[in-house]
Amino acid sequence: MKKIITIFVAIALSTSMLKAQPISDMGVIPIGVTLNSILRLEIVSGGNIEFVVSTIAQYTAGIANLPVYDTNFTVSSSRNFDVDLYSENVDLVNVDGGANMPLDNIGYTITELGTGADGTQWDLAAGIQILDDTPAITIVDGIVGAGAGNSAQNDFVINWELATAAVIAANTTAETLLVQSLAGGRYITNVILVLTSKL
Amino acid sequence: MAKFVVALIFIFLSFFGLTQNTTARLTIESGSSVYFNINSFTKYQNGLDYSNWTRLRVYFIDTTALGAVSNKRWRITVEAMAGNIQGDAGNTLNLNTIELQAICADATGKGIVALPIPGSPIELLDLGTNNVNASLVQISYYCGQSLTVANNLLGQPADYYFVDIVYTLEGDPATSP
Repeated sequence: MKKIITIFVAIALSTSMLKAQPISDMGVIPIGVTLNSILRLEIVSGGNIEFVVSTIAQYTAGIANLPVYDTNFTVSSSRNFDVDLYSENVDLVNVDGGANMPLDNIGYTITELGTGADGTQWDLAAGIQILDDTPAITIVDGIVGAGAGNSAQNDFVINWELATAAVIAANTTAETLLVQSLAGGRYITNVILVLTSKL
Repeated sequence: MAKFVVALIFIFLSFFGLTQNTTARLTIESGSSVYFNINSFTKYQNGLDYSNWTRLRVYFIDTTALGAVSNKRWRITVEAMAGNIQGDAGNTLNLNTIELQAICADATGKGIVALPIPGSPIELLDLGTNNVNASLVQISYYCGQSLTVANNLLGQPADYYFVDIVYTLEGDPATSP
């Protein structure tokens, strides 16, 4: 009996060693992703706007927008963005050195031309805007999660006009060119478009 | 009594020969690192992919008593080693920005999968044939292509992002020896 019990104990001890251990192997791969910032503004056309006032009617009513007074620009951006617009100078500078012309004789509106939509991808400055030298005037305000896109989506037109009734109603000078009695000559300023990315 | 004890010892030792034998070995043959450089608008919009970039070699054999090949199969799983794709400047990308697919003539592919979080490995291949030596596994990578989930890169901040992923070769639990 003792021998039988001993045999069973031996068998019981040996079977405890029949459990197989799981075998596996591993490999580690590092993955890197570099996102280069894409932020590009291109002036497609209308990079030089020239108003020529040569009739009393134009001195009185100003010069309304025509395609020749349009600036078309596009934005390609990998992130949401804003576009600011401002004048480099406080006034339109008289190239002949005389008195300058008030900057607020220049007005503009902005519209979309591409596949993007105002209110969906970005908010465009609404209505007539008056040219100013303040750097913080945003004409395109990107909407979070929607502004990033290529030039086909972010295609804009600035429609310039000079001393029209709409401009006079919105500006500070509030006078026609005729009433301002400006000396004949050429008055210039540079307009700066600033593209900045944002969240 | 002494003879009896010796006999018991022999019985004891003989049971060692009845345990299951499994050997699994995974070797990275090429493509041991993956690098996506998104430097154009087209790449932001369409993403980037590397087909059959990583090549793995699988050695797997599972035997039962006395060296007979069992019915056990193998599988390969993948998981990330971090909860997101970390950027050097503190930005993060979601793990599912990276999608993968594995193919192997000796196993069944599970299609394209998004990179899973640590602790939740996803099968890339299963039902791998037992008793294979240097079976070739090719892995393709897709970045920002929205193949299984929406993972477009547009709008993501510029940064250098990185994550380690781990492939595990193991016996397929869905099969028994």
